[in-house]
Amino acid sequence: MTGRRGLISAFIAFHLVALAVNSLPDPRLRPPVQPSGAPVLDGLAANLQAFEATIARIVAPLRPLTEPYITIGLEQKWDMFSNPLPTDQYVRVDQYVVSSGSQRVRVFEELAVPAQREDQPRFVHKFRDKAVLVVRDEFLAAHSRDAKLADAPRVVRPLAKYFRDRFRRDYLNADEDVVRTEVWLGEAPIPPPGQRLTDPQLEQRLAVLQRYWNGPYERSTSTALPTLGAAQQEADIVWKLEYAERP
Amino acid sequence: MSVLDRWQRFWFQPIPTHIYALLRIVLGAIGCITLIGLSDVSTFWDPNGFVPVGSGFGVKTFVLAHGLGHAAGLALYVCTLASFVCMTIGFASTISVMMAMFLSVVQLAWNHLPLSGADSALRAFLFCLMWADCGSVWSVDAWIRRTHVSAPANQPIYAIAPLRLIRFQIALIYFNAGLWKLLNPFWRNGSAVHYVLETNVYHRFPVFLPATFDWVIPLLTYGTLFWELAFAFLVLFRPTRRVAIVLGILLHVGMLLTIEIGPFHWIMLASYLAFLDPRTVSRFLLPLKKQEPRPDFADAHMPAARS
Repeated sequence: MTGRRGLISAFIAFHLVALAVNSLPDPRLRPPVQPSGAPVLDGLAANLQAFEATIARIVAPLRPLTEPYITIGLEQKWDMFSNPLPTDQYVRVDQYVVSSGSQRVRVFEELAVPAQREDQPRFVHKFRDKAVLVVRDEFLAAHSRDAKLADAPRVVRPLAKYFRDRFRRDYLNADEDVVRTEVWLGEAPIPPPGQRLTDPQLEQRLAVLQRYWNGPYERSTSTALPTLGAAQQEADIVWKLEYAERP
Repeated sequence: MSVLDRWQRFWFQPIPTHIYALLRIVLGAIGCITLIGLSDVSTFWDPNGFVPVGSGFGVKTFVLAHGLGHAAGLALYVCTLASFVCMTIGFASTISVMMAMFLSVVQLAWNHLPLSGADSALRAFLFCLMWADCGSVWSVDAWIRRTHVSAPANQPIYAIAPLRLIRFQIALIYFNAGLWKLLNPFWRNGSAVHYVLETNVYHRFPVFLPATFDWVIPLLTYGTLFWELAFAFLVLFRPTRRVAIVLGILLHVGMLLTIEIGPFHWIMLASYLAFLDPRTVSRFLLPLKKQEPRPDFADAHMPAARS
């Protein structure tokens, strides 16, 4: 083997090892295996998790070598659809608006996700939906790591700012401004296999969503500002206030 | 044959470069289409848009402070799109593939929010492709060379290593995805596909599978799980490789029809081209060019400078 081929071979071997090592997730991030009703697979998963943790410990000394290489753009996490949620997902952004010379606060609610009507076929990918869902996932991950939400404002701020700027530009007059922006995460249950939403349940939910599909919707104002963690229910959608900021 | 010889043969066996050209064209085209989907510069590229500002090595903070946010975002978008267009048509192929890879990494640091597994996969494939000679055929480069310099007598060849790295990458994607899935109770109890198909953020059509067809759900769930776990092993052998690839095509086409998650399925389907026989690919256009002899690679040797 020539020296050149020797170098290329060493690079190939390093590349393969680096990809394999860094594709092993940190065992601390894996939740313990929950019983699923399939004992054989549960046992397999539990053994696999233990084996994976052992391998991760063995290759841990390699990580300082491989991680800098992986950060050149080869970071990979292939967990798509690995954690399907038994709920439909919604994200809503509320804007509190005042006019100069007026004390009255008007509240406008905008559905951020899904951007497209869910009662119609979708043929075009909405990258904005993906961006909002990434923010939601990162927020929930930060929340699970840190109950005091130290990291969450940084994660959600681009979402709140984007929708506020857009709302200002598209809907407000020169004498109006946004004084508070809230981000609400919504969930509605997906019935388990063998069950379906009944027609009245579906109609109720679609009636709620219909209000949002024509753009920001003005809600009748209540006097008290909701606090973080506050909940609202519309049909079978349960909303939770996760973030609020004053621009 | 010694282990060393086997290793050399496995990684350095010469193949026609057409397979690399095909991957360059298809992956470049998908990159272009993805970027067209991200063409709203003020939303996805301007740091004043839907872009996290704290990341990006302080560059975004700097351009924002100097009022250059939109210009910087626009410049990054145009350069990234230009690199993918050049890659697709094969203009300055080697450099354009490297630039496409580099700017994809910059895009990730600039704004990762609208990006998905599709972009990770594309970057991983570009990384492998940038070590290959993917511009010597089916490219503007080759056309310029033919019109300005005398055509080379032999078919261009290159080491198989980049192709094998792409194949390894595909296998790693599925194996890893399978392992993640196995650790989730919905995948183990056979109901995961039900929730994936029904969820409002992914479903393509607002119709629910009739309850009488629910027996299909465990079949699809376990089928996907075991196929992903087995893919890496099935592609090792020629007969099972075909089964793995056909099942993969069916899976991705089925998902394309039922859920909407952007370019991921297109990228994965395109990556399957890496499993085509390179010699077969080199003959794709031969019926159109009858004057060219069938290439014979039996005695081909690696260009020394490129091996």
